[in-house]
Amino acid sequence: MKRWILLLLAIGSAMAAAQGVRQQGLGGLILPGPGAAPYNPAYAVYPSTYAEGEGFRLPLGLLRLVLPLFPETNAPGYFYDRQTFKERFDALSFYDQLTHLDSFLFNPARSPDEVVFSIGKDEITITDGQGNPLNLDFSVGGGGRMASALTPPALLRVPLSTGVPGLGLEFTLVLGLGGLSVEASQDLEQAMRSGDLARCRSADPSPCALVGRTSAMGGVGLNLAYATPLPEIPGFEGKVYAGVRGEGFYGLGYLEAQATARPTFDQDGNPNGTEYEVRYFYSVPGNGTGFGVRADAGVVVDYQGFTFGLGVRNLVGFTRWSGTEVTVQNGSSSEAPAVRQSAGFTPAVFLNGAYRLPLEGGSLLIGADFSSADSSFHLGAEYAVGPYRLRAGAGLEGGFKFGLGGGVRLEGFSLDTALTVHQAPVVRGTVYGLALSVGF
Amino acid sequence: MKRILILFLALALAACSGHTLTTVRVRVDTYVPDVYRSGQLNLTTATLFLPDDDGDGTYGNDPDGLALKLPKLDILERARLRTRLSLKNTGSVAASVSLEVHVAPPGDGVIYDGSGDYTVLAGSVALNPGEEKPLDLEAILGEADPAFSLLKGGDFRVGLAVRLTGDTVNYTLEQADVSLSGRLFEAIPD
Repeated sequence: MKRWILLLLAIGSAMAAAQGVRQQGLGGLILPGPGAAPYNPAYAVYPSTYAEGEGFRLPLGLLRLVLPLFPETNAPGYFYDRQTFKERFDALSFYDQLTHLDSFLFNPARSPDEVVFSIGKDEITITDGQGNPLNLDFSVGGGGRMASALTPPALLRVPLSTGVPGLGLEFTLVLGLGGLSVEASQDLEQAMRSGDLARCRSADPSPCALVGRTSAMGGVGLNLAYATPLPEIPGFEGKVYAGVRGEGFYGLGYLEAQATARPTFDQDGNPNGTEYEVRYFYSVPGNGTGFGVRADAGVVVDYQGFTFGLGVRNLVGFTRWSGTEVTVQNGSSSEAPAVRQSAGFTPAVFLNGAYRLPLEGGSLLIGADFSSADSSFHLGAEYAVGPYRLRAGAGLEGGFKFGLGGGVRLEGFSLDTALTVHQAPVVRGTVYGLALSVGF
Repeated sequence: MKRILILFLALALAACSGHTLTTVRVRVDTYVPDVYRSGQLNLTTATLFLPDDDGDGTYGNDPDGLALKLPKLDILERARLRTRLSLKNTGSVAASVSLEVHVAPPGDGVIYDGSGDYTVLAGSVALNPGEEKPLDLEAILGEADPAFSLLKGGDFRVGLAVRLTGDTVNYTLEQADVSLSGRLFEAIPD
C-alpha cells in the first residue's frame, strides 16, 4: 500500500511541475502574464496580453506508466506480472517518463544492452557494450538542493477573496521533489576520461567521488501578495507593474539525502574496495517539525511593445526543519536528532521578456526566460494567423530541450499539441515526446 | 579489489533494466608491469607465471597468481576469458609455446599445479624458426563448467602460465582479461 501511495505522490508532484502544452511547444518558455506570477509577483496584475486559454492537458505520460502495453515503463507490473517486469522493465525509461509526465515519450531513454565496468591496475572505465563512455553527471530540477524556503511548485492552489484590489491571498498544498542529481567529482571525471587512477590515489579519502543527491518536501502554505500598476513616470513612455509577496509554509514532511561513494586503495596503490556513505535527514509529524517564510518581489515593464519582467523569489527567507539524521557508512548506521536551517538573502532570480511583432494577417510572438533556481534558459516563438498557431523553441533545462507545436482556436473548441525533445539522461541521445491539450 | 566499486552501483541502477547485461571486466594484463609484458622465453626462462606480485626480485615465478575479490555474483550468467600473446621464434629450431589460464580458490598457494585449481583456457602454437604468430585464446564458461561456481563466489585467484618447448621465442602479452556478466534484474525474486 505504501508503495502505491509513494508512486501516486511521485506522479502528483511530477504533474504539478509539468508544463502546459503551449509552453512545451515554445521549448519550455514561460511568457509574461498571470501564469508567471509564481515566479514574479508583479505578474498577478499584469494583463493577459500574451496568454491564451488552454484546454485540459492530457496526462499522456501516465499511459506509459500504467498500461501493460508498455512493459519498459510499467512499474505496477512488478505487482501483477513479475516475469514480464524482470525481462522488460527499464528503470531509466521509467525515470525518464516519470520526469516528463506531461508528454508521451516515443523513445524514452533506454538503458544500454550492456554496461561494462572495466578495471585494470591503474584504470577504470564505464562504457556501454559498444565502448561508448556513459555520462556520469545528470541533474533534474534544482539537482537535490538543500533545505530552503523556496518551495517546489504547488500541487494545489486555492485563492481566497480579500476584497482589496491587487491583494491576493492563496492557500497552497506543496508537494514535490527539490530535484535529483548524480555528479562525479572533477577528479573522478578526469580519471575516467584518461583511464588513469593516479589522481584518485593522491589523498585519503580519495578525491574521486560519485555523489547522488535528492530532496523532497510536502507542506501546506499561505501566501499574501500585493501587486499594482505603478503611476506614470514622467518622461517614461512605458508602464511599470510591481508586486511583493510573503509566503509561509508549515511542513508535513521533508527528506534530504546524499550518497557518496569513493574508491579505496591498498598500500601498493591497487584499488581494493569502495567506501560509501549515505546520509539522509527526514522530518515527519511525530518525529519533527518544519516551517518556513520568505519574501518575494518583482517588477514588470512594458515599453514600446516589449515586456520585461524581473522576479526575485526568496529575497529574504527563513526555514527550519527538525528531525532525524541517519548516517550509513560501510554497512553500519547511526542516527541522531538534527536540524536543517537556512536563513538570509538567498535569492532565486527569474527574468523573462516578450515582444509581439504585428505581421500582415497575423503576428509573431517571441520571448525568452532565465531562472537561476535551476539554471534554465528558454527561447521561443509563436506565429499566429487567424485561429491557427505555430510554435517553436529551445532551451537548457537539465540538458538541451527543443519544442515544436501547433494549436487551433475555434468557437467552443481548442486543441494544442507539441512535439517535445530532450536529452536522455545517462546514455545521452535524443528523446521525442508528444503532448496534447483539448478544450471545449 | 574487495567488493568492487559500489561507486558503480549508483550508475548501474540508473542504467538498469531487464535487458541490461552488466559486465565486470578485469584486465589482468594491466597487472603485469609494462617492462614484463614483452620479453624472451628461452632455455633459462622456459616458463612464466603472470602476473607476479610476490616481490621476490624475479619476475614470472609467482605461483599464486593475482587475487581478485569481486562482489558475490549470484546473478552470474557467463564468464568470458580472453588472452592474446604475439610470438616470434628468434631461435634456430622449431618451437612450441603453450598458454594456460588457471583460476583457483583464494587460499590456493600454487594455482598452476592442478591441485584445487581449474584450467579454464589452454592452447598452444608451433613456430618455425623466424616465424611470427599470435596465440589467441577465448572461452566462455557457463553453469556446467566446474570453475563457474568459484567465479560466481567473486573471490578467486587467476593467473597465466606460458611455457616454451624449443630454443628462443620473443613474446608480447597483448590481452588477458576475465569478464563476468549477469543481469541485475535476475536478483528480483519471482
